[in-house]
Amino acid sequence: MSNEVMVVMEIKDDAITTTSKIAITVASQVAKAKDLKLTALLLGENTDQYTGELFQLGVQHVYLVKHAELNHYRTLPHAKAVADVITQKDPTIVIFGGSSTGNDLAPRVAAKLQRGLVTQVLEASWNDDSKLIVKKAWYQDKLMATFEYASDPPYIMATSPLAASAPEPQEGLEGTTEEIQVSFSENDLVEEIVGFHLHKKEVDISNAKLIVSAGRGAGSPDGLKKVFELAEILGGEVGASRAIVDAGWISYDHEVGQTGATVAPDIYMACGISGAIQHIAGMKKSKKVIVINTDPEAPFWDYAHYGIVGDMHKIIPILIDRFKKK
Amino acid sequence: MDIIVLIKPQVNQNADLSPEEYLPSEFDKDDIVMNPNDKHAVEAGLQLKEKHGGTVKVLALGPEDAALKVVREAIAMGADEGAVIETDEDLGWLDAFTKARILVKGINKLGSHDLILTGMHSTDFNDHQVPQMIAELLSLPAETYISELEVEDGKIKVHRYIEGGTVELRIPMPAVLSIASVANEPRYTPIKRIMLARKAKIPVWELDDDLDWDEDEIEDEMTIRLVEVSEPPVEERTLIKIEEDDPEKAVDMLLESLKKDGIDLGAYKK
Repeated sequence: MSNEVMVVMEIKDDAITTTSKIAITVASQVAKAKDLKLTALLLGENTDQYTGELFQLGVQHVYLVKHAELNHYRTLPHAKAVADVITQKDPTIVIFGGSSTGNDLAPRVAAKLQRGLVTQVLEASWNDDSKLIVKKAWYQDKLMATFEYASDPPYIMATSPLAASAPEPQEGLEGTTEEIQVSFSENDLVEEIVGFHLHKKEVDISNAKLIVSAGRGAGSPDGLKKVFELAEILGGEVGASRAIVDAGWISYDHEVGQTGATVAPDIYMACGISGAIQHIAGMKKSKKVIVINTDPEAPFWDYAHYGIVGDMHKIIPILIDRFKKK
Repeated sequence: MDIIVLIKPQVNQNADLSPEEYLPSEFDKDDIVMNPNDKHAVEAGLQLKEKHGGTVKVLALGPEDAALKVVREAIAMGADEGAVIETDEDLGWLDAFTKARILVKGINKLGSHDLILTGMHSTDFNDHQVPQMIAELLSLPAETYISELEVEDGKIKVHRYIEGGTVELRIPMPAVLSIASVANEPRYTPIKRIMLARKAKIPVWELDDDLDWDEDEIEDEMTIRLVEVSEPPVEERTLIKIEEDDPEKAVDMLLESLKKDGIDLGAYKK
């Protein structure tokens, strides 16, 4: 066994994904506690460009599998490549990010290696007997479950996007790289990519300090005008629930939640949003939450710090008025 | 086209869950529901059958009563037949890999199939694991979080959800697909079919007798063990909830409370 914690990286839109960086944070916590080496696995050609950033994030050694079949994600060749690298390098722990890709790949790899897997991991640590312990939420946060890895390594997990923040890059950190060869059989290559259908992204709300978010309570696309006006006056961005994105009231780049952006602003103002768990998942890390909702029983109140039980169509114009004057 | 849909009996989200009671075997039948995400898989199966003919069979793993309940529900929706793999009432939590291994035995017993469909994940344990694991065990391709699917020249073409959109893929059948909740609206069940489902003959397979599995060894074989279930830590949070009919006054009160805590909404102006 080589004493290392390996993070399987996902690259998207020519960048290391945030979910992969969160996985690095969790990996470095368990690695440091036992003095294990932190390694990362990059799949696909042209991935050399990311090694420098990985070193800055604390990764000590990067494996590169530069095969043309790995340039776009497909489960079978990716699972084959990852399982081959794990078999060759024998890491103690393997960590995947909590994206749709990570959640697709991790179980396939675990099954190849005849191992169980814990997904959506919120916390990982070592207990007094040096067993790896992980926690995850059950029943949409109603219960917390703690698991122990009971077999020989590798211990495999996929982290939750809520597990941690991405590590802060540190200048001057260096590391080593190593290329690994893999080969595929015909059966690994039966998935044919026909094309991509990606939403246009014109606004990036993920780093906003203040977000005014709206849901069905806005009533209509017209009802969003005042939301945009308030966000503009306050110097923030507009967020949205999936319901109004699906309804076509607002473009996808405003969506907050499991299928949209994950945000962590100082102020999150939720106007006319009920607070479905999928939405909450995307804004849980907001520092202060202000709810404006006619329904005093809306689930969003469980996450609020301040709020008005009232109609956003009445409240928002008053807020606009107050801050316009300043 | 022969389709198998895996459906999961689970405890209703609103039941009285606690660190002591969280498994279907610990609850009354009234508290058992089909994983809401699995209804989209049943619906996808029924739509394919309506278009291409064939059969839709459902398979559920769990305590007998709980599993029979969800199989009857799927038959009421329109599935042709179903089967149950019964787990012992005393059996504790099982990891997804173990469940996948058991389900594969049931799938093989159900006979030939062109597609195996599942929900995108269960809302109780939120694992996202079973579809890719059974696919690996059966050496089949699998695609997860499918929002659109159509059969084309003996292959299946799917739109797989990824962050920011979808990727369109074409794969050979048989295959395993997990169906995203956005893929369709599960149908309402007509009363007539509910009666039919009540009378349907549903085989109940036992692990040891019917599936050649030593039930006593299941928990020992798991590579992951559940060590504790607890209440989530309570986050310290105070809520100032303003219930004031006059919106002007309500806004005053809100801004006043924010100011008291040192928060200025005007501080973010660019």
